[in-house]
Amino acid sequence: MSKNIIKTQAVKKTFEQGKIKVRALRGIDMEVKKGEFTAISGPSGSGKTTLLNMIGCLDNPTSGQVEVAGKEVSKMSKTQMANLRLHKIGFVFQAYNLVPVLTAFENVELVLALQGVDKKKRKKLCLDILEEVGLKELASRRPAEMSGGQQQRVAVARAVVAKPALILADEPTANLDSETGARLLEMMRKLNKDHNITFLFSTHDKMVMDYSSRLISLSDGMIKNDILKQQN
Amino acid sequence: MLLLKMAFRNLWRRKSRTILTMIAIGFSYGLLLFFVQFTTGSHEGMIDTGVRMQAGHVVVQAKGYSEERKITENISKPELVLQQIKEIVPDSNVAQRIFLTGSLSSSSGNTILDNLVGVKPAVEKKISQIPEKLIKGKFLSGTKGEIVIGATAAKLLKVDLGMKVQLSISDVNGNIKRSALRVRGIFKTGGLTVDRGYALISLKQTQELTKMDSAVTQLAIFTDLASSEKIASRLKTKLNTTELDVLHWRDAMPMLAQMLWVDTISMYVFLFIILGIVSAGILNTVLMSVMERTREFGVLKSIGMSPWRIFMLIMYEAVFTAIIAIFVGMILGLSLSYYLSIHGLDPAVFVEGEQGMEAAGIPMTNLMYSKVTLYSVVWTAISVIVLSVLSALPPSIRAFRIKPVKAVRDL
Repeated sequence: MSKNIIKTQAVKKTFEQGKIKVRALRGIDMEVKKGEFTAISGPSGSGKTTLLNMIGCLDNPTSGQVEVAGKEVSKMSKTQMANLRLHKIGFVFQAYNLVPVLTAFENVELVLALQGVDKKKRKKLCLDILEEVGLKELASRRPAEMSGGQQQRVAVARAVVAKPALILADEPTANLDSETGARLLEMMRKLNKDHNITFLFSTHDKMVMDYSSRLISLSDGMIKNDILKQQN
Repeated sequence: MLLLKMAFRNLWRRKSRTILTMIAIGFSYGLLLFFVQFTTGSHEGMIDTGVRMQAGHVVVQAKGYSEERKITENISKPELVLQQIKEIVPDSNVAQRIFLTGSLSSSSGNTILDNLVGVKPAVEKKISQIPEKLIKGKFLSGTKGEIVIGATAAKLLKVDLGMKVQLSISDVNGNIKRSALRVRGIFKTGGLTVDRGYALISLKQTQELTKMDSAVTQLAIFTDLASSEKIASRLKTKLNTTELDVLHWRDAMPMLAQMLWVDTISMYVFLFIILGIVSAGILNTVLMSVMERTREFGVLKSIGMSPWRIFMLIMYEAVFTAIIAIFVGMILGLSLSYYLSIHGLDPAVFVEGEQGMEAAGIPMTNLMYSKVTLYSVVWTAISVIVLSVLSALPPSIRAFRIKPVKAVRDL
């Protein structure tokens, strides 16, 4: 049996907006095993973002427990959370969010540099992953000199390069046309299979849902459906 | 290394804003550097004029002479003290002087002398600025019966070169002594009271007229400004201080020292204002840049960059801005300062008309030179860098505190 990468127990999150209390998550219990390619879907306001923030160690739950890569997150300090994000989690954002002053190569290298990987090893790992996402030739380009699809591939390479336990991808295809989106998903699926990296998406995109091997639907801060599909 | 690279490249994201900030800081720094060097140089110039005319870098006089400046309070055996001084400070020039007050009269008028100075012409020529300021005639030759007077005194007495004037002074017993002297030279310093009331005669004649024998009222020691304090304290410990007073130029010319102190304070006030402008410039630019990049810092934190690294990134950006600006300012400040260290600035540009310029009884008409020193370049540059770090603190703390979850809204 595969090991759990994510485990949440009765996770609740309440925001206070002035005098109004918004209950974004009302008790989420879920487990994600290593190597899964899972999508979380649901309408706006269903709690997808909040749940991903908890799993991504960007926020603490009001109550309940979140475990990522075997570590209990809810009681961690900010520094411990930053450390866990650096070593265990990769992020792919909807708006690419590359560092504009760094080249594609340097954007990918940044995570490894922060981890303290030596320069020679960094170079090899970065060039390998850029080749894998098909961007080795564009390594010296800055984000502004690349298309949206190319930037998102760099973002994926940045997320994957340190071989994290988990990659959280927020609407990764939302800003891409369907053909580019499909190519990106294909690439992520391949990385998932080749390196056994767990992917967790939040998405509205049907194509992402189709590519995923498991689909969790949220509604009003609770899990409505959890469907494990046939492996592709 | 990657952090430094990021910081440097971030500077050029808003090129025009960064360049404008750098120009503002650079210009302020250049001005600051020039002002510091010019003030230092002009102060040294004034001290130099002061010590040459009225005192020395260090002055030795009889105990109690300062109080009323009576000629009865004198150094009776100056040669002995001179020998001792030469042993302690071998490479110095020592002038023996007698300072008196008196009056000069001619058939057409008279004038009071505030400072009639009896000097050894050969020694004084090496030290005094009067020989350079002669507009007519020559400096004292050492022969009896000569006097060198100022242009205003000559005008009041309606005398010219070679003409006779009558000098009246008191001797050590309080008796009035008169002597007829011939005008050997007329000087013009530009200082009103100096040109009217400062005159030089030979030491020997002064001693004869005042019945002081070989006594003098002042032994003025000339070395260099920088080591004057050390020399003064060395002399204080070695000379017989029960009979003698050893004074540093600051104590010998307290008015001048005080004036320079006030001027130095106003320089620091000016520096403070300039540094305030620099600080506001850096704070504004860095704060704007941090606020524009809230989201980016959120992303960097999301991918695992620690708050401290973000903090340092902002700090590096501020320090880089300051360093580049300092180089620009250095070119400006040093060029101006260097030019004025060679050519000098005529203080007449500050004064209208023919009025004489004087401060604490010292003419201020010499060219004012700037003094280029590495020390002033370094300390002003370090001040600007330290200030830029301090100014960048609030925005850096802001970036440090950015919560990734708020910054990356759409995750």
